[in-house]
Amino acid sequence: MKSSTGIEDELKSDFFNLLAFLVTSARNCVEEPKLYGPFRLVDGASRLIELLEEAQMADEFLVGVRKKIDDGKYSVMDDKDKFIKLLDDLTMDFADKLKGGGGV
Amino acid sequence: METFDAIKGRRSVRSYKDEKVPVEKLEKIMDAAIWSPSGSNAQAWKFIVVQNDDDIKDIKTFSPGIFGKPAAIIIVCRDLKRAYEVCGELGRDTLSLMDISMASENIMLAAYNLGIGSCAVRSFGISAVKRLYDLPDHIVPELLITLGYPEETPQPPKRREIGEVVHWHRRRVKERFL
Repeated sequence: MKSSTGIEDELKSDFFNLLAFLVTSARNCVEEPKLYGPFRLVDGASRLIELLEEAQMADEFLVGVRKKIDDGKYSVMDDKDKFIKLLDDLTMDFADKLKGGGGV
Repeated sequence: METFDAIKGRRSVRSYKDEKVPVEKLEKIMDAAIWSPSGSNAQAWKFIVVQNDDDIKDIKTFSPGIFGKPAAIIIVCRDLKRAYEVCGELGRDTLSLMDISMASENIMLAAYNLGIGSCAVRSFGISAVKRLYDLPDHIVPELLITLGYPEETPQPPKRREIGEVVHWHRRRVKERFL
């Protein structure tokens, strides 16, 4: 079993990596195709949920969101409409969740 | 393997098995890299082969375009100093970029021929990688190529029709470009 300090160090390192991802993405979005901005944002959401899963803080809804993102995110490369629909669906999933429904 | 099969069969792999690529195979892949065409034979390139897990992790930290856990990463760099010395501004600004692009394709086709998947990644922090490796100003990392044994191989993406992009008759070219 890992000590609480060990877990904290791991979390710190994971969050450092996530933050480096966000900052680097921000820099690259200056030149990258417009649609890569939304792509990095949802990919960042997926990475954040992954961290929550590792810390056992993600519920079924969030795990479903991550799977949905990971299954559909690469459509940004060759099917713009499909990718935008994924973003719409995810947004509605969160709205449904807020209203008390299931989502995902 | 037939060259044409490699050209058509290669995919951008973003999911790798947890298995190292033997050094002999990496050496063979890099040999293919240095035999690519080069404007004025400048060969104004540098390749950094990264195999160590910690180093791969560090690069991945600054590379939003890398997915999965590659077994190795090749940092493909332009050598602006050499490019300028051999071929002036044309070499520095244009040819060196073309040269590393052709070398990169060689790398990916050679890898495919050896059963190794690859993915060319431009979405990475150029300045961060320069800092990590203390690269001098004239060595510019332009592309990362991830390598590893594929866990999943994606379906081929749609291609534009050959008739839309390849033109054979001089008189019809202009009207089709409008």
